[in-house]
Amino acid sequence: MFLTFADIPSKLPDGFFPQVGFFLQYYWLEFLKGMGVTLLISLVGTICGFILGVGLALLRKLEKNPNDNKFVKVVKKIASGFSYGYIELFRGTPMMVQALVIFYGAAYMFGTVMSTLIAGFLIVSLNTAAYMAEIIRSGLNSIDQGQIEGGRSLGLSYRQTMFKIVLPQAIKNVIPAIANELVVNIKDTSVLSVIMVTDLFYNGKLIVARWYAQFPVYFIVSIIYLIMTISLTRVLRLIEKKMNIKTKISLPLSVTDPSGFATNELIDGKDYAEPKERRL
Amino acid sequence: MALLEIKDLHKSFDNLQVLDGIDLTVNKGDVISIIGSSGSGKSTFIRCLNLLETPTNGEILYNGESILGKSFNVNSYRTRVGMVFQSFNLFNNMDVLHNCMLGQTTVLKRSKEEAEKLSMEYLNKVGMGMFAHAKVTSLSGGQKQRVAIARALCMSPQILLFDEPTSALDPEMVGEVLNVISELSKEKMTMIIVTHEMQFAYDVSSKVIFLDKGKILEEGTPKEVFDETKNQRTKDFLKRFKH
Repeated sequence: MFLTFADIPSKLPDGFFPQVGFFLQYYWLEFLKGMGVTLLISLVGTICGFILGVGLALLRKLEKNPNDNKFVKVVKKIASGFSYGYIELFRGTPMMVQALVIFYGAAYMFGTVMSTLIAGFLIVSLNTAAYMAEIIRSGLNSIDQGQIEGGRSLGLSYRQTMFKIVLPQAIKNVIPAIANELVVNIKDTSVLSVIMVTDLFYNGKLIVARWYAQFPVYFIVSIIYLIMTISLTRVLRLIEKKMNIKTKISLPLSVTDPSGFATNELIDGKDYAEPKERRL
Repeated sequence: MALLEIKDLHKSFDNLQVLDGIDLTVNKGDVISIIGSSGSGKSTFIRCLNLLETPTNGEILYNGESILGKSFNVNSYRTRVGMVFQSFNLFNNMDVLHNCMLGQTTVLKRSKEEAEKLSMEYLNKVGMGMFAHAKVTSLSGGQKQRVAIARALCMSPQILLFDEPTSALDPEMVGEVLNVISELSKEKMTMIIVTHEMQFAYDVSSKVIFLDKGKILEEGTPKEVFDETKNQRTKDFLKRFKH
């Protein structure tokens, strides 16, 4: 499987740059594969997380209709409570711990060991959903009540008003924050190495284990992460420009960045994004 | 039979009593203007008629049927009682044409072709036909309000409610909107209009209502209310208005 090149020399060259060259020459395929897994999990996780997040956000904003009977009222309360609890749970725990609990939990409870890739999709999707829900919710809150009244006054139901009028505008308003979530996921999938998902970081770790050359390998790994995030940010910014969204997406900042840059996004001069906790 | 019959309508927000027993009968072809100072309950009243606010007490009958009953189909009622807002409330994610088509295709289940044809007809009527494919956000206030009126008309309503349709417009744009409304009044459209445009109310109304502190203080033809009132409060309110 891994490290099967017959012609890899048995001795590491001297010096930092020769070593970097050495790893790039003999392990480029492993780096590339890891990059692919990282991108795949981030992309699938962000898309699934977005869909789940929209659902969670809508559950929080169910119509309060005075004509509902008791049963419907209770169901709506439970749904909105579930959404609230879910968001608290997944934003209140580190993704690394979530990964361990879900992966080993599934094995413990059901005796099935998930494929690590599937587990990766699942964990990133569930985690992203919580953050997406908050992003979408702030987007929904940014839409003027008049838009809802305009829809209702024409006889549209609450659901039709939401899906045809409010949600499309809300999502458009928070596209920068959604795009940012994808960039964050590229970096954060590295924690999935604890359940042996063979992403970029995990492959790097394997090479380190073989050669015990931490600095050159992790240097390469970090450069590849940087290339992915910067180029993706550029692409997303271009898309936003095409869609005529008047804002600037910030470069990906460190997950430990104390400024919480998501709070600084200005859209049409209004501050839509809510304070966002960073994960990890 | 009266189209709308409002009986002893009350509405309060928490402890604030906004409407304090309103009775009104609306017949087909009526153009009723509601005037009064800010905070007198005009907007709340007209929003109650569309159930954007739920009355606390009282009764509203539409063609003899209570609209406050639990089994009453509110959405279908709203298609027959159109509303035009002070802040237009056009859908920002659609162009002018689709603003007019949305209600027709989703609620009235009209075909796209039919909806488009009718939309264009009404857009032309309000003089906005050439803006059919314009973005809503690129329009001026007066243009937006005319589109909003066309959008309401597209639902073929029996009654149109106007909630201060010109209050958010600058003086030059007020005229173009009022022209559209007075055109409608000539076609015997049933309308209830909350307005601060006294001259306009005087000219188009078949009935004027002066609302004060949630009560109807004065009710009658424009001439009766504007020219022949004996009520001191009404006189004070109309003091600055000379026609």
